[in-house]
This record gives sequence, structure tokens and C-alpha cells, in this order.
Amino acid sequence: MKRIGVFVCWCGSNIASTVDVGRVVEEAGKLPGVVHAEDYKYLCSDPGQNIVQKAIEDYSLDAVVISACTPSLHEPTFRKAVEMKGMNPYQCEIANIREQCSWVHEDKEAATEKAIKIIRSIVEKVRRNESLEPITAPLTKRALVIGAGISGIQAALDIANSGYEVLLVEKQPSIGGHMAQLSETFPTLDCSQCILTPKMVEVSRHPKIRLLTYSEVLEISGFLGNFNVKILKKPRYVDETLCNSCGECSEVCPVVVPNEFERGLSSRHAIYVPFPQAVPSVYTLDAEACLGLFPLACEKCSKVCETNAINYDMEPEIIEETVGAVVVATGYDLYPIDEIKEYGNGKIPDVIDGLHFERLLSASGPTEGVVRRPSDHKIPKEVVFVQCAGSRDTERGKPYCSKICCMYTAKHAMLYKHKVPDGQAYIFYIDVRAGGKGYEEFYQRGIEEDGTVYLRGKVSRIFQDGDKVIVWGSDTLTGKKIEIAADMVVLAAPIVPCEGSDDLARRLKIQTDANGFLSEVHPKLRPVESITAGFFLAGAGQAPKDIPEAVAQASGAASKVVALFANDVVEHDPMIVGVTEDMCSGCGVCVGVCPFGARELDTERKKVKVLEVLCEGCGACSAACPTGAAQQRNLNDEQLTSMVGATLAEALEGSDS
Amino acid sequence: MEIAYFPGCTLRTKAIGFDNSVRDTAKVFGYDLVEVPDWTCCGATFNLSVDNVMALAPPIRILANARKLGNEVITVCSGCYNVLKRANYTVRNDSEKLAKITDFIEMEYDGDVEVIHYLEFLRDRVGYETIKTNIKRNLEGLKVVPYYGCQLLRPYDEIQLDDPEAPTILDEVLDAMGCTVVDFPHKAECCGNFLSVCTDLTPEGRQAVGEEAATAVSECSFTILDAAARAGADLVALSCPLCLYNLDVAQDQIEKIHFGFRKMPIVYFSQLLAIALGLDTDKYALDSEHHFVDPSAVVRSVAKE
Repeated sequence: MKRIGVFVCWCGSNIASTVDVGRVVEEAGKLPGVVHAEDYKYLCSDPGQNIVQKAIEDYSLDAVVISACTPSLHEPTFRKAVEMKGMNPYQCEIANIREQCSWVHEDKEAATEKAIKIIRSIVEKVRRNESLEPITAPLTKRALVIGAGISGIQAALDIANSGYEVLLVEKQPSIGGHMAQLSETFPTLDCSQCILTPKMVEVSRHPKIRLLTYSEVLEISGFLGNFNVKILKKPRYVDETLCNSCGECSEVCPVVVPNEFERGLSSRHAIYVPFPQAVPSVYTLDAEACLGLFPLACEKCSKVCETNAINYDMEPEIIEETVGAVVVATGYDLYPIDEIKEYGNGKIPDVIDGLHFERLLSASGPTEGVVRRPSDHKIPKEVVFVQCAGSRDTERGKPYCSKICCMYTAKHAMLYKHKVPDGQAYIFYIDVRAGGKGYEEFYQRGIEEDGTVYLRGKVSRIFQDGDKVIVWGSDTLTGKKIEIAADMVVLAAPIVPCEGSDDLARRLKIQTDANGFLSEVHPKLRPVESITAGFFLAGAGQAPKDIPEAVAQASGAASKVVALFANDVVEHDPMIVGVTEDMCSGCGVCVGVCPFGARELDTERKKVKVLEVLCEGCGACSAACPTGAAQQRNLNDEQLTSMVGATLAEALEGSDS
Repeated sequence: MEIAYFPGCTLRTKAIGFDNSVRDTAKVFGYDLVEVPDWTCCGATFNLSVDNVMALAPPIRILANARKLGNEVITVCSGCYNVLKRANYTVRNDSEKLAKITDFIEMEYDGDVEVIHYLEFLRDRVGYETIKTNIKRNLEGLKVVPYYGCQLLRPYDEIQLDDPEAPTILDEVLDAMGCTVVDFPHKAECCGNFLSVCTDLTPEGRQAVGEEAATAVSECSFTILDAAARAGADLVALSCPLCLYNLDVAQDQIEKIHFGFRKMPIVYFSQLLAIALGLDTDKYALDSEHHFVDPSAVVRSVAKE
């Protein structure tokens, strides 16, 4: 019989105040197979672990039961400790007598009885535990990064600079994301494009980065270390290797459509580059805007192209690749202001959103950096900025804080005043949230040096009156109703996950939260990992964040990928559900219930086969299997029955008598 | 086809033109509006106190009576609509309250009557196309602002008729009947009527309640009417007798305060519908007896056969 040691933790008073630890030790010592039982104030401490390790030697223990807090906290600690003494880590089990006992009960006597039962059942389990070895699988040391905004760029560069190959996929014709649209960045007011474009160039020149723009990830199958990726490369009808970006095609193109990069404030042709510093510096023919490709209606562009780069017969291409890890950096969009009905319903030309205003401020923007309002191109002399225009609004907008608006609005007002010295900026706010290095000072500077007027209150309605935009609001500090006849209004609309990201998340089988942002494993301790193993998160697709935070998270995600790639194989938890072939009838019920695709039916042999690395040990198949052939390792039917028996021993005896 | 109809008190007195025009226009489309038997006042305002069981008794009693005629009831006064719909919503989500009320009124009711506004009926049941094919008089060029007020739209969770900030249903109905619909920003602003029901806006009354309260009400109305006038409207169309009274009665006072203010008639949308459908314009109280600002001149200008 196995020689088992039971160790009972006080957890200070967390356990000891509700559970009579002395009595538990006494009772545990009497259990079958238990050769040693003792207690300690903090078992997870170094001295506590030493006690366990010493007992393994002194009593020649084969297995250990740690009676303490939840296994989700210290199971790895103790498994590591016993492993150091040569014990198989799967011979160490945790009996949770804190979360499931001492914390939820008040009656000390009853809690003590319950703790004894919990330990008794775990002792029964561990008596039948097998020694297991981790399952290993090969590891492809190549990463996929989805989205090439600043987060995706940073993650791709960090991974590539560590020596691993990166596949960087961007759905737009150019990389750069929203950061390429920004004018200057808070709190230092350095030019956004000036700090971004060197990184864009580095990406395009990096020997380890394969850049796929105008492309979308269709599907990812496989598992951590071995993902099969299917990517759609949309036809841009311009050969990337031939185009010298001379721009003559665009000059002759007769089609004029709103320019998305300029948020519709100016126009572009059907064949275009989004902005001068685009990477790759290649023209793209927008097939939807073009007068016609099937059949060809115009052909003006191909006639002027000196390098014959334009190819109207270009087909969509499916690219398949194997990668070991995926960084999802899908980014954000602004909530459309035409959904904010009380603020003009999107129908007032001089009510714009924050990204519009960035383009109006930008030296490379449609007004070349002169702030002109969209309706009549006049320079606005009174501009109202509305923060939380839809954020922190549980009834009609988004319940969360979009986080970056306080700072970018402070910046907008400041830059506006620099460009229009005789203008006046008003900011309606609920709270000013300026947490961040240099942020509070920046916001104060706006008030003190640039005369930004902050009005604490919500705006109730915005409407057009002649050539003015009337803003009705309240100043909750004075209790007065405020009406401002403004020349232009800038709404800080909510940050929402990038369009199509929920659809992508479904295809990738990764999780999103109630607002559609990508979910991390743990909000504090594992903020860059997705719940699905092998997927890492970076940037505003996970939650609203500014550039420094997005870059930091991207580097964090990259370091996780690099840490993974430092291994030669991927290790997988061996607590999987196997198949006892003699008992398997080949009914295939388990194949249907497996959420991970880990089970396959061999129709010839009429037996189920397990793809061990895919199995997460959830036990769904085990419950569904009609013959008992699907047995979970170290939690098989025999163990479960004996654990239930141990828990109910007194009750069963009672019913017998 | 017969459908239950709850006119409400005002429609049988002050707003008789509203009542007649709703019944007659429905008839044109083939519907007979049958009055809910033994109806009473709905309570006029939805009671917001926690224990509003007594206040809910009248509207639930009306709905229980309507149930005898079918599982839907049409109403048209924004106030009645608001009260009936919210009372229904309340008892549908609070079975205890419902049991208490049905016990008290000694009637069966389980929340299964749908309260339908006549605008909703025109949109969903009659259909804009049917309205258009029945037009007998051309109202094109009659510039109308649609005014929704508060009660028709709010609170959104309970009413769910249209977007409370940018509603369109009245715009669409007016457009279907051939009016030139004028957009203006204050469609869903409050007209101030909750202040006006507790004040007295007649010249004698003003002195009694004090100028401040009276002015507050007339300023609310002024904001709306001024915006409508500057948008180029000839008249305001609405569906609330209280809004009509308030916007209408305030104009004398507004004229004294705001130089250059142009008076504007206020009418019910169904009165315009009756004209458009070619019904006898004299039947719908479009006169100085029922309006402070006489709409008859405007009506005459469009009511040519």
C-alpha cells in the first residue's frame, strides 16, 4: 500500500479559526494508508515546503495530500516541491479546506467534520493516483500576428528581433493602424507619424517578418505550438513587386470616393495609397469603387502604368502556414456618432468625432493642419468638446470608460488653441481621469496656459441653428444650465472593438467579454494571454488603451511568445481522458461532445482515438460514454466512487443501522 | 374589422376633433374602432411611487375591459398611451401587483392586451402605402413640424415605440399623408406641460400663480415654437392634448415677451389625416373654439377639393 503523508495548513487564522486543525491532523493520521500527518501555520512558505520535503524523506512517502487553499493557487508550488524530492508531481493532491470549508462556514465543529471528510476523500483519490508524465508535442517556432497597428507592429518586431519568424497580417492596404491617423500624441506632443513610421519601415525591411497586407485570417486550427492558419490575400490588382508608387494611375482614375483614412473629410480615387508613408508603398485598386473590372469598363490606370504593375486578372489567394503562437492585435474603432441620437444623430456636418479632429489637426490631413470645420471650411472660433459622448452610459451607450478620451480631448483643446490663438475651447466632462506619467501635468497645462474651459456636466442635446451648432448642457458645479453657440463640436465617442473582431474571435475560438473586447485569462496576473492556450493579446482589442499601454502590452505578449519558443517542445497536462479500448464500442458519442476536437472515431476498427495534445481533460466525454471506456486519468470511475464513499461513509453507516 | 379603442377623457371634451378624426380615418381604412366598455379616466399620469397599486387600478381595469373585445386596444392620446402601456408593463413584470389589483377591481386580467398607439397602427397595420393610395386632398407644401413631446416616447424600455432622441414615426405618417415634413431639433423636447397643469395660464390665472412659473412654461413652448418657425413650418402636428393645450395657450404670452414671434396653429396629426383623406373638414373642431390659435385659415388653404 502507498505510504501517504497528510499536511494541514492553518493559513494563519483563515483556516485555523474555523477548523480545529489539531483534531483534523489526529483524524487524518488514522486514515488508511496515511503514515504521517502534521500541521503548520503557513505551508506555502519556504519552511512549510521544507516540512513536506523532509517528511517525504523521513517517512518514505509515496504520495502527499496538502490540506490548504484552492488548487488553483498553490498546486504548482507543492507539486514542484515534491518533485524536487523525486516524487512524481501527480502523487501530490490538494484538499481544499479553505474556500470550500473554513471561509464559508461559521460552526467550528461542523467545519472540522467537513474538513476531515474532504481530506478523507482526497486520500482515497491519491491512493489510486498514477504517476504521470507530461505529454509533449513538437513546437513550430513561428508566430502569427493579427493586425498591424502599433501593437501588432511592436509585437512583430519584438518577436522577430528575438530571432523567430513572424507572419504579420493586416486587413487594410497599409500597416500603421489608427496611430498613423493621429496628429500629435499626449503628453509630449510628439508627431505621431514621426515616431510610428520608423517602426513601419523596420517591419517592411525585417528579414524575419513576412508582411501580408490587404489580407485576413480566415481560420485557425490545431493547438498550442502547432496551429494551421488559413489566410485570405485579397486581390489588390496591383503587383506589389512591380509597383514603384509613382501615382500616375491615381491621377487618371475618374472615380472619386470618400477617403477612409481621412474619415471621409476628403476623397480618394478607386486606385490609391491610403497615405504617403504607407507600408507597403504600393497602390491598391478598390474593386468596389472601380467603374468595373468584370467586364473592364475604364482601364485608364493600366494604360498609364509604366511598370505594367496593374493586373486586372489577379485572383484572391489562400495562404496556408503553420505557426506555434498567435498574437491578436485587432485594435479598436470609434463608436459611430450617428448612433448618438441626442448629439445630432450624425446629421450635423460640424459635429465630428475625435479621429476626424485628429485629421483636421494633422499637417498631412485634408486641411494641411489648419483647423477648418467640414461644412463651410471656416476656421471655428468656438469649439465644444464632449467627453463621455456615449461612454459610461449604461442606458443608451457603452457602460465602460473609454479611458483615452480625457487625455486626447485635453490634447485636442491644447492643439486647437495653438492653431487658433483667438479661439476658445470648452470641454464638457464627468470626471477628468488623468492617471498616467505626466498626464495630470499635461491636463493642468491645458487649463493654465491654453485657457481651456472645463465644464463639469453632461450635454443633453446638440442641434444645428443657422450656421451655429447649439450645445445644451449643464454645469453641475454652479447648477446652471448652459447653452453654447459653437462653430464646431467634437465628440469623444466610445472606443469599441474593431469592426469584424467578434467574427474573427469566433473563427479563432477565442473568448470576448460582454462588450466584445478580447478576454484575458486573469485581469491582473495574466493580462496578455487569451483563455485559449497559444493565443496572446495586445492593444486596444483587449480593452481601450493609449499608445504607451498598447506598446507595453504588445511587448508583454511578444515576451510570452518568445518564452514559449525558448522550449523545444510544448508540454501538455497529462490529466486527459483516454480510451480503454476493450470497453469502447465505437459508438462515437464522445466525439460529438468533445469541445476541443480531441476525439476521433476509427470507423474501421470501431474504436475511438484520442489526440492527446488537444484534450483539455474537461471530462465531457467521460460523462457521456455509455460503457465507461472514457476514463479521466487520476479521476477515473473507481477513484470517484471511492471518493464519494469516503465522503458519505458516516451517512452510509447511519443508513445501515 | 372591429378593434377596441380607448379614447380617454380629453378626447371626449376638449380634443373632440382628435377623437372624431381618429375614428373616421380608421373607418376609411376599413377598421371600426369600438369603445372599451365602461371605461374611465386612465389616471392621466403614471404614478411613480413604489406602492402605486391604487394608481394602477384604473388603467388595469380599462385593459381588463378591453380584453372583452380582443387582445389589443388602440389609444391615441400620448398621456393615455403612456399610462396604459406602463401600467401593462408593470403588471407583466410583477405578478404580485397584478394579483392585488385584479383582486381589488374584481376582474380577471393577465397582461395579455397589447396597447397600440394609432401612429403605430397606421405604420404597422394600415401601412404607408395604403395611406398614400387613399389620399384625396393634396397637402404638399403644407409645412408641418412633427412634435412628439415626452410621453409618446419615454421611458424607452417601457414604451419602445421609437427612438426617444431621434424619433421618426410621426414624420413618416405625415409624409405618407402628403405633408411637407419639416425637420427641427426639438421634436422630443418637453413642452413644460407638467408645470402648466399645476399653474393657470389664462390671463386671470397668471396673476394668481405668479409670473415666474407661468414664464417658465411659456419659455419651454417658445423654444419649440421658435425653432419650428425658423425651420419654416406653417403648423405643428402632435398627438398629445396636453402638449397642444400648452403650446397653444402660451402663444399670447410669448408674443408679448418675444418681439417678432409669429403665432402658429397646433393640430392633431389625425386632423390633418382626415383632411388628406378628403373627409368633411368642418367635423373636426379645427376652429377657434377648440384652439387658442385658430387653425381654420391654414386648413382652408389646403382643404380645397
